[in-house]
Amino acid sequence: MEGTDDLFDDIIMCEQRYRGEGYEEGLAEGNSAGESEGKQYGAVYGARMGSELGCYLGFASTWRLLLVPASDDRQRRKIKALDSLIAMIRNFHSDDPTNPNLQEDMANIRGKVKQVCSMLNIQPDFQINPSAKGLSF
Amino acid sequence: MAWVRTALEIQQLGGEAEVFDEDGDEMRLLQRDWQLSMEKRIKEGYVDGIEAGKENSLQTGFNFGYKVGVNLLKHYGELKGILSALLAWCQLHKTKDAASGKLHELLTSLDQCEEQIVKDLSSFYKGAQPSDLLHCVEDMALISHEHRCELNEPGSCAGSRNCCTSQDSNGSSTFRCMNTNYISDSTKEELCKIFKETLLVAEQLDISAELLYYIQTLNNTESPLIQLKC
Repeated sequence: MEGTDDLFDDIIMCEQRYRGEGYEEGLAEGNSAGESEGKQYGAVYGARMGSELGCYLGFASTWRLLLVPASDDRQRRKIKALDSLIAMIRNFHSDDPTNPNLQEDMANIRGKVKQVCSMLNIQPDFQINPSAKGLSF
Repeated sequence: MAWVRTALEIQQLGGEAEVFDEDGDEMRLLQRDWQLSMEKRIKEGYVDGIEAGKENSLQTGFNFGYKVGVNLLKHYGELKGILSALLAWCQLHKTKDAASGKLHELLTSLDQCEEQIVKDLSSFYKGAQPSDLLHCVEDMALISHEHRCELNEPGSCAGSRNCCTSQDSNGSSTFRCMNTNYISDSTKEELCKIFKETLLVAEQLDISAELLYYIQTLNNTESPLIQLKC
């Protein structure tokens, strides 16, 4: 009797077993496909982010050194704003995409860049590519 | 192949059954039904498996690629920012028109280089990766780990062997040493040219020694520019 039970069990479990075998095959393939797809998107997204942030840092650091320290208030305010922008960029954990504040911090930095530009009375020529519109201001 | 085994098992089952069942045609029909149904199960499992696998690894892959992208491009972005600031400064003072023209030209070239790097980076991950091939070769036990270091993926730094050990794990330590293997030789040449010309233009401008020093430090050990062997 036991043997018959096993046989029926086998037949009933068959569907499950074949499904499982297909699943394992698919899982391995999906893993490697997902990884390379993810890397591809991540690299492009990260590259845009890195380029934008680097650009702000280079821009702010250069202006900071172009401005001559002066005694008048306006100049001092400009220098202060530049210093705070540089600090914001340096403290930003840009290479951690799991950082929950990533978008918010980035938005703050963009806002500060705008503010600095208007204080300096300049129109920066960043030439940010149109395809990166979502990441630029 | 799971379906081959199904077919064989079905044949065996059929063979036994035929002893008791004289109606072979009906049996064959049932066998076919069974086979189709099992194939369907395998396919269903496969599709679900692919989806689950992708879901598992997409984020990990994204995080890895993101780090590569951010760290690779931020130094070139910094150079772009320097050029933009110098250009804005020249325009504000309405002098040095020749310098403005040159700076504008350098900015355009740098933008093109950047686009090229992003394109190369994307197609690098689109195609088969050296690391994937390496896993296969390793599985076949044809090469030892020692050799693997020499066949490095560009994700780790060439030159220093210590970097190889952390390769592809979570990426955090790997990127301390920058690599430029993702960048094509022609783009590297162009980037070197842009960097050198930026320095030349900057030296002609009436700017502080401190600022000149800052621009020069872009080419220090932390930055990938030095690995371009400018």
